[in-house]
Amino acid sequence: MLRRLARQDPLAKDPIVLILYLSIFFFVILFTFYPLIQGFIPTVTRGLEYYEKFLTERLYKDAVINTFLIAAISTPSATLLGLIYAYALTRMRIPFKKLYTYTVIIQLIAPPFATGLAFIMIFGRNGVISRFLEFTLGYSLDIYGPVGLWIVETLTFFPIAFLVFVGAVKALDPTYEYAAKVLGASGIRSFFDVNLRLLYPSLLAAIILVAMNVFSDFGNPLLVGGNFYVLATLAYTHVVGWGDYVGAAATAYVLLAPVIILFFIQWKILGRGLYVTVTGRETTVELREPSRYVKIPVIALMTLVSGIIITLYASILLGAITRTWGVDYTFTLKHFEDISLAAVNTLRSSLTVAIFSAILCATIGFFAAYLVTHRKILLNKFTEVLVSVTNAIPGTLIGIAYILAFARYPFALTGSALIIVLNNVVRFLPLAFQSGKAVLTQVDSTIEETSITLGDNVLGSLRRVLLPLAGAGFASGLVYSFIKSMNTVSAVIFLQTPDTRLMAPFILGLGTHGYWGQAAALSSLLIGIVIGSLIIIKLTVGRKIKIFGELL
Amino acid sequence: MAEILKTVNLWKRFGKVEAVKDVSFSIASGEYVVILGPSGCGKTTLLRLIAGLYEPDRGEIYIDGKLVNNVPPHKRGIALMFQNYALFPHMSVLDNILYGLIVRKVPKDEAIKRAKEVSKILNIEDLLNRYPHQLSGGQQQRVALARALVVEPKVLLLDEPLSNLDAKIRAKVRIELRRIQRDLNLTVLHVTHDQEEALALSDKVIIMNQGMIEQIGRPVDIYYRPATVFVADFIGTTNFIKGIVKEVYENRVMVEVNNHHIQATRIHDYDRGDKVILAFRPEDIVISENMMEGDNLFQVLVKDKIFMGPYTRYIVDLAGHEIIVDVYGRHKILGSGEAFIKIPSERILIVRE
Repeated sequence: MLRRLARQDPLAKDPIVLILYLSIFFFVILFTFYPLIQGFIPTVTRGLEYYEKFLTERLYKDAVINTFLIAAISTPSATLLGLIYAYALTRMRIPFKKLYTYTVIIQLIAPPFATGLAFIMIFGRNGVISRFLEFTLGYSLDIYGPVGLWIVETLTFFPIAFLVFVGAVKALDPTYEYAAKVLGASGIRSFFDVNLRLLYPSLLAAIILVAMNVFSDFGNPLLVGGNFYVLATLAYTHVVGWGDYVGAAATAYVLLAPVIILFFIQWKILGRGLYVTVTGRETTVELREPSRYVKIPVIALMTLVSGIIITLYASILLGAITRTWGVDYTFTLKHFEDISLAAVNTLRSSLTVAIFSAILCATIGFFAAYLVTHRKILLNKFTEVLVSVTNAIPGTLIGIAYILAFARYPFALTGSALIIVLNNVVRFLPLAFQSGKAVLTQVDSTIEETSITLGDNVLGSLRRVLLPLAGAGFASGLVYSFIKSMNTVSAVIFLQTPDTRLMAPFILGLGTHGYWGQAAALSSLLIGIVIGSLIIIKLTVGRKIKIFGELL
Repeated sequence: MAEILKTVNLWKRFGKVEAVKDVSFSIASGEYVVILGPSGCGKTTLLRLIAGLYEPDRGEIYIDGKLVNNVPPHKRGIALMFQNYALFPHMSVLDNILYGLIVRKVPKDEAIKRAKEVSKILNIEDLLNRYPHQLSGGQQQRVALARALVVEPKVLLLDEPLSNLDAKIRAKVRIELRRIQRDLNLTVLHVTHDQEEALALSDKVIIMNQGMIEQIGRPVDIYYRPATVFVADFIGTTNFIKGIVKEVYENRVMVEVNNHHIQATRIHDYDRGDKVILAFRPEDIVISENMMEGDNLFQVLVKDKIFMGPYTRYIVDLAGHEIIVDVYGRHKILGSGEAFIKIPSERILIVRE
């Protein structure tokens, strides 16, 4: 079949291409689809009783409603905030641009539950502000539940929308806006009539991406949700509270449904980009400032949001070095001492897992990107879906599915570090693939063809020409999957064992049990490591590497 | 001379588009052949088929007498230079040139010796330590050519090699390319849409249109004896007039065009009443304010005149048809109004509609 498919691209007949295709194909089948099926089977072997609960029992019904509710309120706010940041930071002259940008970046590279942790350190039962209000006004603040979670999810995921919009706004040719203004439209009118219309695909893409993330988020609902259960936390409670893995799997499958639908809608939209006007180079047309009535509220809002973010991280840093957060603010290093043993152990396993995950993930992602961008055969779209689909699978689900699938023959992997690595690779493969693809599409096909006609074979060209040229894409894939592997909680929390205890889930555990000082100390360490690794890769690979677009 | 490259009834389809239809031609050793055609005519597809970057649906490709349909590109003994040069940006000029030799496992010393020889021929010895982004367009083109030449290909394939250069440099490089080809006795297959380039460079031109070969011939033949209306239209400027065959003589044909009679030299058989197209070049027409002697003499109305430098172009009206007449050299420019033109009958191409 491959022979026939290779008609338009004789280079695809090289055995190495077949080997790469098969390896990627079997890897994804074995480590994504096989566990998903193995996890699904027990939920339906005794009829649909597990799923019926979602229609009959209060707890289950509420979890479904809550999940949709939180996604429905957080998605618009996060998307709008992302759009405002993107527009303001690319199109407006505002002071301290870098500062605003950095607050977005810290949200992207810190573990997602950091926002929730810091939030309860300020507004939680013993939070700084809660206690202040209690003492001065006698008012007891309760942010556990939907409102608190809404704020936290908005702050956590608006940077994702921001990333989608930044590229789109940059590519937006301002001459359209000028044309509208010349024809008599006001500034606001031209924004809504022209720019927003042109941004329409990005807007939908941002909404879908944010929604997928909110649906799947696990750490923040665990910290801030209180009794407000969402599907991800309900699944976790099944495992941790009741030891009911099959019930947990069923809950996670209910969560999969909306997310996978969003994924395919996204595929459809991004696959067709109807209104995207990408000019390739940034335009040199001088931009006119929006009026003060727009600019001042925008700056005020951004100052508020970025101010909150800075306060959150400041609390984590301060919490790490104060005796008892909320009560006694004397300086101490006792939290670091208390957790030093756990820190060393969890850090060692987290780093080991993250490094292996990153290398494997970036490699597979890069080869998949190579096949999709440089080998023209009919399987390309399919391959792309195959390596991107895990984006749509909630970490909670894949974690539980892994336990059920790999606990027994023929793939008894449960308890090993390998299972965590494989899980990370599968989950972060879409990121590594995308960063490889972004760079490889820039490498013209004639480069490889020249190498081939000069007498090199496919593998040689890949090694000698494409890899050195697209090294930046490989490196950013490495960085993304490393950061993600360090920060992730939702799947690995089910897969770790006492021998392979990881740092991020450990912090989350400390946080949910109120050990804020220790959680803050370890979080500071984790964020420090992630920032440090970014700096190292930036210094070694240099300017060519693009992390988060042009942001870093 | 020995046949180096031959294609036999080559077909290639992309989806519903027949990109290459039944193409057969051959190139002798040391020949410079240009494939000329408008964009989308299939010329680049043909080149890629020969290079092995596409697989033909039907037909055969022979290089040096050997059927190469199932030979991968890196074993065909060809070199291909692309329009964008495709220099490896992460390698120095020297490493770019060495690439083909290194992958062929030529010993390092010899490889460097050969790279230096080629660099000398192409006058890029001073650039060997630079990187592609430090080179001008013309220099990049030479490096790409050096990289292709150094592997001593049986056939050198050039895909629009000059179109990224500006007009002045292009003319210079054209002459040089031809000189190098002659000096090294290279066999070259060059694809372009630029007719001037094709006529100036080639021993033989292959004109393609809609995937098919319209004509193969020497540049002079292509220009003066176009085989089809397409070729006449595509190469240079041509006047076309539709008419009906009125009389057929032994070596001439009389064609009626709106009550005027035009005589053309007969090449094929025609019958009375055949609908035909007459094609003739602007520079073949003689124009004068005064009456002239001979056949095909018509009174016309000068509607417009454009001074083009080397020549002056007149737009005249002949029996309701707009005819372009070019007069070369210095001459007294005609005023508007009536004039006479003479179209030499041996310069008129006549084809059935």
